[in-house]
Amino acid sequence: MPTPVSNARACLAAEAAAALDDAVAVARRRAHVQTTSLHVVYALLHSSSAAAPAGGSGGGAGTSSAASCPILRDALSRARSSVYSPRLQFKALDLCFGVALDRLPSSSSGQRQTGEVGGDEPPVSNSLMAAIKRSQANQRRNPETFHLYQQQQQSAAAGGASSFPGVKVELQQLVLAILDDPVVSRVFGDAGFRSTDIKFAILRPPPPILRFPRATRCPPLFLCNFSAGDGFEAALTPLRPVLPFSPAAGHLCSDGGDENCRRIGDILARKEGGRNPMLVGVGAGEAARDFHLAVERQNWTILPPELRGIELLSIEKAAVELKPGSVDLSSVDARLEEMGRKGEAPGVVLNIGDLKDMVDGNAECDERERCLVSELTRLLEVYHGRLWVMGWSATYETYMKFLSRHPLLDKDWNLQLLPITSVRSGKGGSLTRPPSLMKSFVPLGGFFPTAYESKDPLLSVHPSSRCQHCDEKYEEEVSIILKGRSASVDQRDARLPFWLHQSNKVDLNDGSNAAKAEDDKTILNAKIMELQTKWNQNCQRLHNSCQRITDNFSGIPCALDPSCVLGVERACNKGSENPDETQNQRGFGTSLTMSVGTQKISMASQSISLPSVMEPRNKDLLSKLQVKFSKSEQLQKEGFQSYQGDDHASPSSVTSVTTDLVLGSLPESLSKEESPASKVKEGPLKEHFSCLPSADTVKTNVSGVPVSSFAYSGCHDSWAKSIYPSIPTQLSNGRTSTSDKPLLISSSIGKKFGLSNYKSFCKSLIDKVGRQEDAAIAVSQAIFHCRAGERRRGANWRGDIWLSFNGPDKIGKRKVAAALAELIYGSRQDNFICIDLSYQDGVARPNTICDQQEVSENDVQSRGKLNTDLIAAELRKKPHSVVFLDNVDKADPLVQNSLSQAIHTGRFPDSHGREFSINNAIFILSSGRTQGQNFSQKIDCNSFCEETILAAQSWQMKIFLEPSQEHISSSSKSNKVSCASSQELRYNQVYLQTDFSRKRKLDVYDDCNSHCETLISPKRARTVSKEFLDLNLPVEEIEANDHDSSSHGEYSKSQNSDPWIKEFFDLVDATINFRPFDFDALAKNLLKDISHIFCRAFGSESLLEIDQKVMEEILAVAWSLEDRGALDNWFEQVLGRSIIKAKHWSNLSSHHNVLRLVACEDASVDKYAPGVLLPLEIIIN
Amino acid sequence: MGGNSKLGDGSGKLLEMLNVRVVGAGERVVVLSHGFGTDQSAWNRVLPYLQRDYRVVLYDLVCAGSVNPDHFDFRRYTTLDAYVDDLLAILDALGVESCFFVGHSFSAMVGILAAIRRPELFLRLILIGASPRFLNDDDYHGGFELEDFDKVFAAMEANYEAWVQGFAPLAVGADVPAAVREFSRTLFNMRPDISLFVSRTVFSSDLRGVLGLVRTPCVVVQTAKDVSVPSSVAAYLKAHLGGRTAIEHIPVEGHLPHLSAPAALVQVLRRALASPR
Repeated sequence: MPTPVSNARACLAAEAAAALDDAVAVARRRAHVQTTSLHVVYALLHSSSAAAPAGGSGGGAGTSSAASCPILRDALSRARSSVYSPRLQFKALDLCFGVALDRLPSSSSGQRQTGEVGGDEPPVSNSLMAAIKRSQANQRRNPETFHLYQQQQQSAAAGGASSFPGVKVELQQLVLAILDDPVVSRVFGDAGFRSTDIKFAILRPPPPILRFPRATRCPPLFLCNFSAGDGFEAALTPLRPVLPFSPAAGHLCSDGGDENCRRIGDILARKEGGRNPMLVGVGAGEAARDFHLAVERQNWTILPPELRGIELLSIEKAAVELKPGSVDLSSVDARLEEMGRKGEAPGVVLNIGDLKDMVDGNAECDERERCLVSELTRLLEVYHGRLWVMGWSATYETYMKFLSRHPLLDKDWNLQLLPITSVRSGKGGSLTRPPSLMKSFVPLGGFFPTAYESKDPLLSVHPSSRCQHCDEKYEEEVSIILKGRSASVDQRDARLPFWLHQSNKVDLNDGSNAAKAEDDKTILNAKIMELQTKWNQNCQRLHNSCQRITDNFSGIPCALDPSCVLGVERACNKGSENPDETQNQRGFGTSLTMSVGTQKISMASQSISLPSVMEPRNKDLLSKLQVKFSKSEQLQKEGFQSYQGDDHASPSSVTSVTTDLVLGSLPESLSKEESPASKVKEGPLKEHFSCLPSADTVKTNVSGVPVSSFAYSGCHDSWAKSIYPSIPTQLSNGRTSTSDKPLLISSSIGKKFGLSNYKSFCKSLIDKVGRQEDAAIAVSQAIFHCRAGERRRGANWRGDIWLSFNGPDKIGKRKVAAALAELIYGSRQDNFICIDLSYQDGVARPNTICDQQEVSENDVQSRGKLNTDLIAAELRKKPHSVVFLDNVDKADPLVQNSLSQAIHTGRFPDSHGREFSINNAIFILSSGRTQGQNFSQKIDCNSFCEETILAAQSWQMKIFLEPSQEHISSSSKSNKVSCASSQELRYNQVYLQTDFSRKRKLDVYDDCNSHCETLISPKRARTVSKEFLDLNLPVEEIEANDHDSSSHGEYSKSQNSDPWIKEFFDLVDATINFRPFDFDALAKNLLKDISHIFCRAFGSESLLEIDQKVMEEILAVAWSLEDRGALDNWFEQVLGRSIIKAKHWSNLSSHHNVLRLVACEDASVDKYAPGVLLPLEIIIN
Repeated sequence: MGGNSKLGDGSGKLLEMLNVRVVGAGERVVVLSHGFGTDQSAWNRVLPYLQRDYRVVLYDLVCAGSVNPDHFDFRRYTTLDAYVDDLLAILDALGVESCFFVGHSFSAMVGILAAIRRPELFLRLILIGASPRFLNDDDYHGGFELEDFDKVFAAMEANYEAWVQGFAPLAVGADVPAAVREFSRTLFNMRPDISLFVSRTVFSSDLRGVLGLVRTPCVVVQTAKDVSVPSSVAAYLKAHLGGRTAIEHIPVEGHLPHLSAPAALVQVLRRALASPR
């Protein structure tokens, strides 16, 4: 039975009532029968934009609901999954609610006059009313307002006026309750929200919750608490911190000391093997002391039970100081004998202390030490099982030294090394722990200063002012007090592990406890202080002469008292807070786990619903569709084939069909024929879908027949193949395009591959690349082959093409690939993916010209990504593209895997297993090798080899002026421009003979005596005489360099990629070999240009000597540039001007001058000339 | 007590608790152990490279965000030894007789201790971003002063999220947004109190005295710039580790090369795993 609106409104606070009114207004506007939770949420969502006036009924006193919207909106914006854009998700949410509201029954047949109040108000539905009731109940139980309500109730009872329960529901509570409504949460779910997340977000104000010490005032409520609609009691669950009071619980929050004791105990309790612990480590001394104390205090809880009652004798002091040797040991002997008689204790542990003291002793001590050791050995033998020895050493070295002095002692003594790694104080046990570190152990550090005051005396005064006995007594008393207190405060909590652990107990009376605890705290502090002073005084009075054991307390007094004090502090801090804060504090742990949970969830949802995933999915779907269609085509073709066989027996008719198709205009009749056919086939296709093999056979039929029958023609085999088999693909392309829009491009691509286009394609490819004609022809052939369906991979009917580019001319290969992208897909920006697999993420890329000239792909986003993921991401962005993978032979196993899978399945998987369709991609795998052979050997007759050019970096250039006598004497007089590498003493002189015949001849002189220095002239002489003899030297050197780098970087390659690459290259559609680039020709060309400029500027008498490095720079630029324009510009603008400047500068034109253009290999260029990676200025020196 | 009882409980439970995974199809076993602030997902980018040739054991440290925080016993995990217990228990439960151990940062410490305790179990330790001691000492440069730590701890307590946001890019070092994101995620997954507790454990640990006890050959992987580990530490490790020790420099920056530069790390790993004993 629906409730009248006014009744419902009476339960709500102003804000909530306003929200309800909005909801009612919405319901009325939509002419719905009832106002439901959906309306409320809808109203809340829209209130900001609509700012609906509180619909006629003035119940909410016209409160604008603007204030209400932030609650839900904010929560939503925080709860939404980060996968979608907020705008999108909110839009989706709006839509979902709109739809949900549309589904509600509307009161079309006049308004039902149910409510006694305003008949025009759709009454509140049961579910909404239930939500209101729920929130009312929750709010009543909320401790924040508990008292308030009780008062209110009492006063209400006294007044006897109000008929409804006195709780006015706040908007927050209302929203929370409404979110529990399954209808609402379903709609939220549809929009990709989880109502639990939203609830959480509502309850958790955004930033401050993550603050450690003080949480905000909102009650912490967590997922687990939402179990039922009214699960708010759980929120009040006290998460009491552990109060480790009793000695038994004393080790609860120790910081490693007890752990070490336990380990020592474990070793002592061993039956066989090394049973005498030798502590090694910076913290070993501390650990030994801890153990000592534990035994002294008879703190057996941390020791194995069989050691209960063990005794510990320390001969540390004796060993250090005078070593009275056997005296001590005889007492041990006596004690042991006595014990043996009584059989009371398990035995005695003899602590020999720091080995360093023994090792460092002088010769005299040595004697005693030996004595001691042998005595100990004897005792150990005698009292086997009842006597233990333990010692410690801060460093392993000391222990080794000790062992070296007493060889085999570790066997004799059954020593067991125990590494001790935990150090409590800042510096290896020598400093007292600074209070700040202590402080930070306390969760609410600085919150209650009194607590610290109580601690400080414990830490600092106590060890120095009391002797051991007094100390013990003092501690006893303290612990008694603590025990008493722990009983009084809350016994139950003792079993909780730590201050953040959750418990399931319900404790509503937290507040009263808290007050009590606060009192307790102060009392306790006072008591402890009292005790301290008492025992300090006692101690000073009585035991003044006692041996101080301050040593033992230098770090932390002992395991017991800090923990006690800490525990007390914690208890105090915990207890004395107001309940809210305590709750928050406790809740924090849970809130975090909770947030972890949600994060995980969101991660999960991310992995599922990430748009990037959706996309490939779609694509997968598409490709599936395509497969489906292609299959249908095949089926049709089967029919078509036979039909063809009948009617179109003559090849010419078939070719006519081809040309038709090639032109892209599907014959009307054909397409008409097809479309119904494909429709008809849709149904049965699903059956065929599962039986792939049959489809395959059909396909082979299709592609096989025409080839075999039409390969008769007189043209080249390849030509025939590339033309004729194109029928089926053309068909398929055409057909898929009719049925499948996204494939339009591929079909349009298909159009380009007609017979008539082949030549033009080939031509434009060559034009674009400008070299490597053979390769370009081979590439176009291969492409046409593949597009024609002649696949070397056979069975698969796919659009992807795999080519491998082998051989040198890295830039050329890239150019070809880029040109392909432009020709086939339209743009070299949007359809070209170029990734060099030899570069691994993050590894600094060499700053070479050739690499910088290419697209700067190493933007921030790609950094740190695996190459596989990089490729996959690019493929996702640009599915229609040429994927140029350079240096495939250096691909890492991941990429290898992905590539292998891609070539087999047509999907490229990334490292997360997501797959990307490559159906519209052309993969070009480039590697430097030709038939397993590195190309560098092949071009060693050239002066410039590809590697050096590739390695060329852009350095600043300099021009030196030199008088040239020597130079001219050593070489022919007529040289104008020479290229030499002078800096490394690798004289590489390229003389350009520009003199009479105007015929340029390139001579290369190479000298590789890079080890020798400065002996310039003899070397030159030799250079000239040797002529070409030294030419292979640089090659060797290069190879050596190569080897160096490969030994480091290409480890994986040499190890595992060789067989893979061989295998893989067998799979590709075509292998295209590239010829080495003729750098010498290019150099010759460039030199010609330079000499032109030089001649013009300087006249014919002088020489320009170009450093090898500079030449490499220029070559690299020229090689990798698209066109020479920029370089020519540089020649004119930069080089030319510099030469002219140099001429002015020298003003010595009477002499034969030598200008040397040199690269400064210590300074990279800071300003580049426009368009080229060459310096904007050349320094003239 | 602690470790033994764990074993007694049934190692299956431990394996499940710490999300132990064994992947790959090699004969030799490689244990990948993540460091502080990450979980085993940190190895995801390295894993594919190793999977083919090695049987890779992955697990989460008990302090990782991916492990149920209830399992983190504040009494037990007070020293590194408890983590060593876990590691050894896992290896025993899996029946591993010898393995390569790749440990990052915190786990490198664990690995060192494990190798001391069970030298026969470890063929080689590959220590990434390892440091025996983070605090400076008289003649030792660990990279941190005590005050630094107090500051760090205070920051962690004050606002864990903010600290994570600030620390993650710093630790990753290199400008790799993906890695920073990933590290922030896993770091933030840790419950702050556990995170704080563990970092205290780490910073109060001092392995310098025990390095000599290591007999296993070690490879110390050192990045070019590591906020947590100065390069002198690598030299210190080489000088003091008892076994044959080599240093591998990776030319990348950051404390988490397996996140920021996995491929570079993999090269080093493969070399370290392959080189003869």
